[in-house]
Amino acid sequence: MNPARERPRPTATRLWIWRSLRLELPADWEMLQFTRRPERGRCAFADRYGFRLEFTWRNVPGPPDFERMMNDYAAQLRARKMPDVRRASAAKWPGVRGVEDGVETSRFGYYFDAESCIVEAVFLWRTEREPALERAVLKSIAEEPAGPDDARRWRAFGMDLFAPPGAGLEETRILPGEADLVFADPQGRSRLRARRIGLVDRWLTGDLGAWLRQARRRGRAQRERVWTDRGHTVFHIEGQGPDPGWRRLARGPTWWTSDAWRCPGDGRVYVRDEDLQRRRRPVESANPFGRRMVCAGCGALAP
Amino acid sequence: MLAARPIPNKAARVEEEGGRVVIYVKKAPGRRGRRVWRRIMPTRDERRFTLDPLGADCWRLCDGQRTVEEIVDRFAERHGLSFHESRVAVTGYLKQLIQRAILAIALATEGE
Ligand SMILES: [Zn+2]
Repeated sequence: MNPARERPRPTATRLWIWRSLRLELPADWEMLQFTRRPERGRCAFADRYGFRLEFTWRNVPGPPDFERMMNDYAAQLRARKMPDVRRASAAKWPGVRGVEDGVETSRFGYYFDAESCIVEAVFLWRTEREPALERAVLKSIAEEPAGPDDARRWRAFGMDLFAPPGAGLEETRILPGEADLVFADPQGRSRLRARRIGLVDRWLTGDLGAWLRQARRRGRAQRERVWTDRGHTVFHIEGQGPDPGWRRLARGPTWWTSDAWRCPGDGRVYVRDEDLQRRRRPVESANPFGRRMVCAGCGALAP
Repeated sequence: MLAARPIPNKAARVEEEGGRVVIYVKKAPGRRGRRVWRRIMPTRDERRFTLDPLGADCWRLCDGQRTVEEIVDRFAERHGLSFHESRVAVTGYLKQLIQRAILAIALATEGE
């Protein structure tokens, strides 16, 4: 695509929270690549014409010597026959910039204390470099404080949610019109599946409440409720088990809950399924919508 | 790729069958042996390709004028998808249609 014919970028921004790191990006940048590992990983964002930002993290035991790191890095790049590499800095982030593989690139690094990790943000300037955008994005990158009960907040693929305490992102399935994220703790005591499903008229023929009942109903002690919140009719179903006897004895029963609603804003169905193994019934939140998961287009969870 | 223009095969015959779109395309003449065999054992000289409702919608958007980018935008708008969700779906359908010679792609010239 000829850059001169590219569409102008929207002024709106979108907040992403991944691995307890938040960043605010132009609204048309979508996450096309990601890794789930908290110790070391990467996300890449693209606009309609190509990749714009690579965001990487790496756990380290303590703050690094950025000055030395960046100088070493610039020297490495020069050795790879990139003579125009220059040191740069923006919004307190030290960095280097130059032309890599024919694309103007700027790389910045920062150490985040609470998360003990180095974050690197790499901007790919297919069109002219935009220092103001670079600064705005870097300024927005921060650690996201833990939510209630030390729950980690995630905001991606149109969902804003709290994962169960201690649960990491275990499985993902991202397809056109379907985002499916599964969080689980290493002991297998809590599991949360969060879904945002589009193309609704193609698969939902009847009532959403009946669909949820059919998809989730199992075990015993079922209870159902329906309420409306900010124009969203939420169907809620909850129950217990079934559990193999030995597991029930060792850990208590599985308490499961499911919420589903169709967002009046984007027309998609949001589903939140949670399984918790506890001896006692988990404290029920008065209104799960808006407390544990919301549609990102309609609101934000309070940190 | 976004600036390319999918051109429908004019020889393709399109029929709606129970909400689905069925496209018939003439088979290539083939090797001589096969031609002789066909004279002995006549078979249909058309290939049949059925599109699901989303594929059919994508096909309808390929009017020979719209670029891939415009088709992706329209498809996203109609089905409430993001640009990249729509791009993945549309390029999947276009690939199938091109493989079956129902569509050809006119690449953009410099400056387009
Ligand atoms: Zn909503």
